[in-house]
Amino acid sequence: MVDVDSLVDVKNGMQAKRIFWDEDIYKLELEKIFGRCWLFLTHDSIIPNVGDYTVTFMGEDEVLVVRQRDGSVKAFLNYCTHRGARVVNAEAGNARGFTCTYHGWAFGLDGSLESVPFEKEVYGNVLKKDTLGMKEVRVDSYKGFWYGNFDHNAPPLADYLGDYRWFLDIWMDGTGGAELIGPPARSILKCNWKTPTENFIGDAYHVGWTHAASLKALGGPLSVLAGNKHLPPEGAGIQITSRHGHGVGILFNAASALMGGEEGAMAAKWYAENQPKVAKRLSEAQAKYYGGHFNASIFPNNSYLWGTNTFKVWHPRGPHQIEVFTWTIVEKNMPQELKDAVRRSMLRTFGTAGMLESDDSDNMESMTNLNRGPHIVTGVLNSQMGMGNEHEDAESGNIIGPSAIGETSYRGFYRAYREYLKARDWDEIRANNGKWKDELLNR
Amino acid sequence: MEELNPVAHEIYIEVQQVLFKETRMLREERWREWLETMVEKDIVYRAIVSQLRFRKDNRYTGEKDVPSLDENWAGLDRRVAQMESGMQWTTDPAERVRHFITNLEVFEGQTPNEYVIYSNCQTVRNRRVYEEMTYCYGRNDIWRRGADGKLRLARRDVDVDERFVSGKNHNFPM
Repeated sequence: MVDVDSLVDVKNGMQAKRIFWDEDIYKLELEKIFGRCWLFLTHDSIIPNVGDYTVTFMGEDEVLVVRQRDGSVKAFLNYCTHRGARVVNAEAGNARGFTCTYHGWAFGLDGSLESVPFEKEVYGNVLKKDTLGMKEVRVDSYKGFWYGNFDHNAPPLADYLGDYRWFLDIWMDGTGGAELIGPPARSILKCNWKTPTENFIGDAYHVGWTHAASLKALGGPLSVLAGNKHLPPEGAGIQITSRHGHGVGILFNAASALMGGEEGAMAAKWYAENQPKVAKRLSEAQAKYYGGHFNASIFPNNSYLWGTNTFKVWHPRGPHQIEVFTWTIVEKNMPQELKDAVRRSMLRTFGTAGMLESDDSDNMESMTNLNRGPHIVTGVLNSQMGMGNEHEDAESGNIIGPSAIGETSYRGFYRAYREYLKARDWDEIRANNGKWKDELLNR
Repeated sequence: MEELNPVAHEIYIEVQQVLFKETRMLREERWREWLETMVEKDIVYRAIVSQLRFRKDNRYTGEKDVPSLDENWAGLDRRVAQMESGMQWTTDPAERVRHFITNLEVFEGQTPNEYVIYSNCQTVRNRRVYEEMTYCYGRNDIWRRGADGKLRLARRDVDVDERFVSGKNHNFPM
């Protein structure tokens, strides 16, 4: 039995190191977090046509996501209801149905069991085909981004994202929508799934130090941080945490990030030109943040960087390993030339051969694997930066940390993490809706 | 596909020696020297992984290529600058990377001074104490002979066999 209260100290901004290592904690996470939070599946741009499908994961469960004849999307566990073999071995494609490789049971786009070889001869009337469709998973979408959820009592995706949408809308909607490019790159890292999630959600602190060499080499607005020569000045950015643990850090006017030279100028021009449009479409307050660099995670394992334009899912593979899916994100209305430049920049920085990606993974792996030591694993993790400086953000309804560098989003992530692990069900989580801010704001 | 003409034996040997020299230069971390002396200014340097698709599926409109590297000369220059910065702690202590190049085929290119070179590569990369990573891939190169008679890399398409990157990343000379 895991003593959840001993894992996270919200008031003092600390977590037990065991959360990156222990098998029983991981099992609890699969049940209480991956079993009932919204998990990223795919984007409209990946499966635009009827019969288009893609295969991905929800936690450790393999999932098939399919565009239906009526334009909707359904998701199914990717196993045959006969003897449990995998139904689809490709990663993506277009199909009229899906046939299991083992005995040839054939399923429709809607997951229903359509035909069974020699059914009459070998089964007679025994088989109740209408109960043997592929097991369906609940799905929901926001601005073209599809997520799945194993818990039918979970709130709709829009409510799960909640007030955090105020920040998502800036890039998901501000200029007419965002899209993912291409199939995902896939890589294995030997780290706990929370190490990259917490890094993306709230760590502007490491940028100048972990990535010193890359920043120095690349140019662009973020390069001034190289080697901790400068701290971003007062008022240069903010950090946000929200009801269900999603968070974001924004460095103002740094969206062209690590794109130097002509490409950087092209990106900077795009953001400057579009800021007034975002103001008109959304609000002046939101437009203020458009053109900034976002580092962010949607709870539990979906991270993105806006400006460096990477979109990632950290699929857990046991407590000590993850499989990373990496896409490039672009605004739909960007000219093709800029989309291409953004993609090249993403590959150079956070792709599978990215200059910054390889810096981060080294830290994440050691943060995980050193915990094999019985004396190391009993220690605690510290996330106290900026504690006591937060306030409620009147504009968005979230909690805001008023500086570019701080650990507000870490604390909010682990507050939600503890809440999910403790709660029996979504009703119990919903009961906390009015008081989730209290502990973070120390009131 | 158009039939390619194999080159004369002495050119085959020359190309082979240049490829061997290139890997040794990279192994010895002579990044700047490699970029300045062995790489053309109009270089295209790509590494591509392929998404798994059913053979008969010709209806899906999504891209199949998953680029890991897509660099021009300026991008390679930035990567070299990263290594030259003296601040790149992930390669400190140094990594050790050893290339094995085999199945070498050398053909005449589209112009008299260009060669099309196919090879298979296995690369073993060691870092930290325990990390040993092996990568298997093909390379389709175009090398160009300059006015000075020297061969320089004009294009490299790395065709990566594994669908997922098991060895952490592709951030090493491929």
